[in-house]
Amino acid sequence: MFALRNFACRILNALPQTRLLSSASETRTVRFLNGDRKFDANGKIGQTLLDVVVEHDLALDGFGACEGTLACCTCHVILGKEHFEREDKLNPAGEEELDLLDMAPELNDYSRLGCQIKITKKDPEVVEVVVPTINRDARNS
Amino acid sequence: MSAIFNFQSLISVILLLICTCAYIRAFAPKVIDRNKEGLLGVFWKCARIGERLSPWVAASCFCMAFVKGGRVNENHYEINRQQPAKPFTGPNHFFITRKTNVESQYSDVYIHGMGASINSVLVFVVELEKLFAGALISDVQTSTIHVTDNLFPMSDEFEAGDRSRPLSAVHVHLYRAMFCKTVYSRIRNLSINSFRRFTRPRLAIVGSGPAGMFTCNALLRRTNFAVDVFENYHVPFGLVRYGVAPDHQEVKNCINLFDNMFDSNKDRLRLFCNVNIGKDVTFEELTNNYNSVLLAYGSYKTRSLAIPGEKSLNVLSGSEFVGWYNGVPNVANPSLDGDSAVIIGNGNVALDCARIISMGADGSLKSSDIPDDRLAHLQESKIRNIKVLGRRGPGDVSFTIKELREQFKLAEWSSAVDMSREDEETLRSELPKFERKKKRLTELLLKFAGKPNGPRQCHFLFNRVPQEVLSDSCGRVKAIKVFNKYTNETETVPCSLLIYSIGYQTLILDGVPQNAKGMIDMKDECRVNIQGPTPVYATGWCAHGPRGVIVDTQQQSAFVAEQIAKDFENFNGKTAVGADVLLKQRHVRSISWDRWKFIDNEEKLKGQKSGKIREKFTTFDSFVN
Repeated sequence: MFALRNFACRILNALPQTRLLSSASETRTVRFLNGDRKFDANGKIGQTLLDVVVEHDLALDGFGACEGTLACCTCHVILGKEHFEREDKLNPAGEEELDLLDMAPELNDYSRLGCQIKITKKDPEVVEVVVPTINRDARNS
Repeated sequence: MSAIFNFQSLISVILLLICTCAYIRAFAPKVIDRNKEGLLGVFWKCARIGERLSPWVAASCFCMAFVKGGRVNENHYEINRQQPAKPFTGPNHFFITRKTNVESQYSDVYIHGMGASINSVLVFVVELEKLFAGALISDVQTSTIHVTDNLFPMSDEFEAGDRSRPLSAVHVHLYRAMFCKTVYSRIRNLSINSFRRFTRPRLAIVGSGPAGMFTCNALLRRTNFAVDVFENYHVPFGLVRYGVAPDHQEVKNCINLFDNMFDSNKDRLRLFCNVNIGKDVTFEELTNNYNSVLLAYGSYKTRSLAIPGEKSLNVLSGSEFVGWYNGVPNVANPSLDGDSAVIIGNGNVALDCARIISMGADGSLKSSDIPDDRLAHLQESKIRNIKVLGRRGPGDVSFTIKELREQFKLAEWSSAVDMSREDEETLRSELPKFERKKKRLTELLLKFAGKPNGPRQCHFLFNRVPQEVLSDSCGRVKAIKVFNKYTNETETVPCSLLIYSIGYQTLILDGVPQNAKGMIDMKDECRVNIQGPTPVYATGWCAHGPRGVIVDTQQQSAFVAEQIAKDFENFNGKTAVGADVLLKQRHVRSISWDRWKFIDNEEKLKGQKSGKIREKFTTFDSFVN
């Protein structure tokens, strides 16, 4: 009886992985660099970076506090130069997003809100974004 | 007496009783025959058994002489306890002793224990069941295991030999109730040794606002801490509930994160609302009853205007007004029956006040969580003219651009910024030098420079230093005298409502060290400069003054949690007792998480009936146990 249950269990656990494998071309790996920490997560095309963080329950504290409703800037990410330019052409930041970004610590020329950046087919296999952490030196001075 | 708890000894005692009774009856039959019934009749019956079945009794006595067992005086032997054969085997069977070290990687496990370790096994299983609330099923069975001890006599008068004794044993089969992936992975990563429930640090957090809750969330994620959260109000979440404006509902979504945190950490996270630190429990008692204390109580004392007439009627602080429209209990309605209002201050609180007064009439707040009675009062407002005064120039404002833009976008209101021509020119010429944030904000200010027109006006005035509040014969504010730095003249601005929001003062709890600036004395970013064995931390506005929006609090929280986790990495002390016993002793009527969820649910239901997100209660007497 227990053996049967274990067997069923194993199959159930293995299921999501097989699903991911079968649609490998539809996903990209998103690499979040947060201070010394690094998180890799698979995201489907069309998902926002915030969706990826939520789906994989990544330990990025408080990321996306307003749940992607454009009311805070806790999902602030810094994109790579090429990535930013690619996004800027297709999906430039609106006034609301820019207003919120103004409040973001560690604001950078390539800053965007993670809830507005979708994974696209044009993205490379591994998309690297920086999630800024608190800058202690700046606060002490 | 203890002999009869051992089966062999019990038999011996009964046999001896039979023999003794038969013997006594042979000498003095009257003594035994006196009672043939009742309790004393037992002796008569024993005597009869002894007489009638004497061969069997004799045989039994003979047998008992050869059966070894019973109590051995352990002082006379060196005892070598043999391990009994394991009645069950398999890689997922664990036999718990005092030295067990278990790493489990199985989907179901068997846990066995006997004798003194039964207690540990049962405590462990109960804790596991609590931890996995409902996801784990335990099957408990008991049995008797016979163990053998080798006896080596310590002196010549005793013989070497073996002793066999029965021991109670317990066998627990643990398996998953659901095929839940998270539970599975948690069981997989579980190690009994790392399950250090009784040696984990207990932390007290003072304040359940965003600073406290974000830190709590980050800390629970990183460590095995047990956390108690204390809140002065009847309900949790501080400024998220009582500070964020009702038209900014999305900002309140972070409550979902906190909800999740409380739901998934029920075994180690507790909430005590309606507890005043300093009155119900002192700060010193907190440090004595916890392994660590985190101060995150914000900074809720408003800085006063400090000018003559500031005590006039209808003069209130920005935080009082914000609290009023957000439904803080026991706040009187401000009078909105006059034509004009003046708001002193160039921060977001001033903007929030101006915007809510402006929005009151247009009905867009109807579906928000603003309490009905307070919205009704706002809708009756006769204010047509709002002036926002700043003591410094247009280049020094601390508005955030989002809130400022919202004021300019209000349909029925004409909003404009009063600026001298020189100011305008200097700002325009300096614009390219500003960093992005200031640049965009200044651009917006410049865009709306001019005078408002229309039936409803909001005017931003700069370089006006408040000098005196003028009141009418009833003591109610009628105007404010300000010094105009542009013209170097004194102006009188008429107003029937005066709101000032010129910053906060940190309130220091008794026992918390204070520095020369009136702030909490900090050793570094997050550690309070305090002596004693209990480390005290501070985060959020009470540590650094009111600055920044939710993102700053959130980032700082992650940092503070990281530091606390680092400090307690090698903690091996005992878990502190916590303050709940103190609260009970003092009959403090605190509100727990479950009770808050009940209130929360009632509020949402009541709101649903009138198409609102929630209808906040403004009295909680019926909810205090």
